[in-house]
Parts: sequence; C-alpha cells; structure tokens
Amino acid sequence: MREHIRYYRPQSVAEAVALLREHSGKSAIINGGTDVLIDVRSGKFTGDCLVDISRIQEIKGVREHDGAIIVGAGVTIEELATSRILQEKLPALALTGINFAGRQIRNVATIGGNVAHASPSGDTQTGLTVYDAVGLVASSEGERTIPVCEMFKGANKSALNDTDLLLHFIIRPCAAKYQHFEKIGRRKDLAISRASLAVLIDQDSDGTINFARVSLGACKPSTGRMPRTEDFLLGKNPRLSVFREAAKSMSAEMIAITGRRKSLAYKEPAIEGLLLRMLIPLL
Amino acid sequence: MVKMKISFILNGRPAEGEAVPAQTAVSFLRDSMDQRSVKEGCGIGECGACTIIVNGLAVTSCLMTAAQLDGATVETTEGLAKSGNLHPLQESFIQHNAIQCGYCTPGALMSAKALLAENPEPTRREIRKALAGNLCRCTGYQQIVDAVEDAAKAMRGKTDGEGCR
Repeated sequence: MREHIRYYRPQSVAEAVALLREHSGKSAIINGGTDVLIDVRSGKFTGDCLVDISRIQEIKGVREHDGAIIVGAGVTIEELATSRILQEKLPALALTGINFAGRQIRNVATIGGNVAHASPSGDTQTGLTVYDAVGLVASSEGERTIPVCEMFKGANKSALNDTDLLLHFIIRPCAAKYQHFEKIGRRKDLAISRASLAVLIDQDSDGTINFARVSLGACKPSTGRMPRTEDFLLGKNPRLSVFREAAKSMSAEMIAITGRRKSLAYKEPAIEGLLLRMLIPLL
Repeated sequence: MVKMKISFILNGRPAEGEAVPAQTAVSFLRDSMDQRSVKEGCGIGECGACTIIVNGLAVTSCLMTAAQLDGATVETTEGLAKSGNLHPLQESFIQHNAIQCGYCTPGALMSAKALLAENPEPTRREIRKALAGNLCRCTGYQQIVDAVEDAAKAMRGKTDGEGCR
C-alpha cells in the first residue's frame, strides 16, 4: 500500500524547499513521523511523496542569538525537555516536553511537527504562544516570519502552505519570576492534553502583579493567549479570592470563543482548577 | 515500485537490505531482516511493542520508515544475548516473571536497555517513566519494574563483564 509513495531525503533546506515546490499538493514533510505515518496508515494522507527532513542539520539544535533563543524546528520533544538553555531561559516551554507521550515518541517527535500539524492539543504550542514565539518559514519565494499564534487556522489546520518549511522558532526570554506549564490528561503519562496551560507572572516588591501572560491549549480550536484573563490579573495582589475570580474569568473567556459545547461540564471546572493550582504558589 | 538499499548497523554488525522507502521500519526489520522479536501491536505508536533502539534512543519502529534506518545504528532484542548468554535484563525478566504472553517483552527490554545506558542507577519512578510507552496487559507492570531495577543492580556490579552493554 505504500509502494506508490516516493521518498526524498534532502540534506539542506534549499534542497527541501525545491522538492516541496516540485511536489506541491502531493507531498507531506516527515521528520519524526509520529503524526505523518499515522495519516499514511489510515489513508488520510492521499499524496504520493514524502520529503524526509530528519537529516537536515540546519533545523536542529537550540542556541542563543542576539538576546533571543533559537529553537530549531527539528528539535525533538526530549531535547526540548532536557535542554539546559530552555530549562533556564524558557522554563514554561521546556516543561511542555516532560509529560508528552511516551519516551519513544519524545525521542523523535519534533517541535516543528507539533506546530505544523496544528493539533488543538499540541502541548508545545501552549509553551510557544505564551512567550510570543515567532516562526521562521522558508519557501521557494524566500524566508518570512510568522508569529506562532497566527500559525493555526483551526483544529488540525495550519496556516502554513504545503510548500513551506518551518526552520526555527525565535523566542525572547521573559524576565517574569514565575514561569510554569501544566497539563491535564486522562492519565499521568501517555495522555493527550484535555487542557494545557502556561503562565508567566511577575510581581512588584509588594506582591502586585505587574506582568501576566496566560496561554490555554486543548480547549479551543487554536492554542493561544487569553488577553482578558491577563488583563484581569494585572495590578492585582495575590489572594485566593482574586485567583478564583481569575479562573472564572478564564473559563468565561474560553466559552466566549467556543460556545457551550458538550465537554464544557468537564472543561469549565477543569481549567479553573488548573489555573488556580498554578497561581497558588504566588500566595 | 522503486526499492531503496538500506545499509545500517544491526546489533553491531553491518547489514543491508532492500525496502520500499515508506514502508514501516517494523515491517522491514521483520520481513526482510528476520528480526522477529520486533512486534507490531497498535501500529500507531501507542503500545511500544515495536520498540527498537536507533542511534542509542528507544523509538517505536511502526512510526519510522525503513528509509530512516539507512545509515543508523539499530539494536533489537535479537542482539541482546552474547555468546549464548542471556543479557542481564533478559535473565532478570525471567527471574521476576515479568513475562506472560510475551508480546510486549522485546519492546520493554529495548526501552529498559536504552534507559540503563543513559542512567545506570534509575529510581523506580524513572523506570516507570521510561517504560510508560510500553503497554503490558498481563503482568500489571510491577514485575517489569522489579526486573529492570534488579538488572540495573546486577549490571552495576559487573562493570567489566560480558553482556553488560
């Protein structure tokens, strides 16, 4: 059943981009394969060509450049979780790699694939959007940057064209003292997120919150920041009653996007509890 | 149909075979390279029965193409026993009855081997985490965790012995 699929293994970004242009509309990019090969197996992939970018060195590695952190699209989830640079400078992103699938998947699945596949439950997207990460994309037209929050058109619908190759993410570290990520799944491990949340909070010396970013994943068609919840937290002093209100504010903000879906009976208290749990250390 | 030559190191020895490039690594290893320890369970990367070690890392071979093995160093359960002696992990799995139907066992052994190579002294929690991607419906996992813990001890005590790596 896979005999008709042609296979290319470009060694450089230039070579990959040329192949994607040549096979536009019929190709899929494969790196770790943990999403693509499931689509090939199920028949959802209807093209006739795979472009394997797993050997392209240019898209690998995490490095610092000009005050920003550059995370290659080919960085695996395990590398994301264990990178010293990320643990230190972008902890909420590094944490997204800890409870991501099983070790065998983490060893090959990549951050670029997680974003390009645009799963509404992709954990790395929550970590990327909370830091306002920007993606660098190459195509035969040249290179361009796209904010990660604009890369999702909806569930499993990426804003990337089939001739685009995601090269890396550019992320400015944030000075906020509290940076955290947590997810809720059906099990402790090996579970797709029912909800994931990243928060960055900074406070004045008297405790007043002077910086707040909150990104919510797996609860709406596309992962991204929750501006109303962030605004609510700004200028507040940490108190349990305030945090309860912030949690209510976030579920209301989610409902404003999704409407009242069947899963709401679960998701509403779940995300409220999740935000509360993540803010309680600030008390 | 265009086949591709796959050259790789299989259990320490150079190996070569022909594959449909997009076929799964598990089907290539089983059908062309006679590695029958590699089992396909779910076929979608959830059960871990097809776990092999590629370039030192445990991976699910059902979510890998045969072409991705080209140039790689690959380990399967067939390569565990040396000169007729079982690997300490295999010995320990037998001693602890960490096996019933056996279908998941080669995958669990491979995950455990990759773990012990990077962390020779894992805690029980670390063992559970490393094997979370290997589902077993028979043992209830306790025996597997016990087996890996004991094998780690045995391997630490045998620093220069054969079959330790």
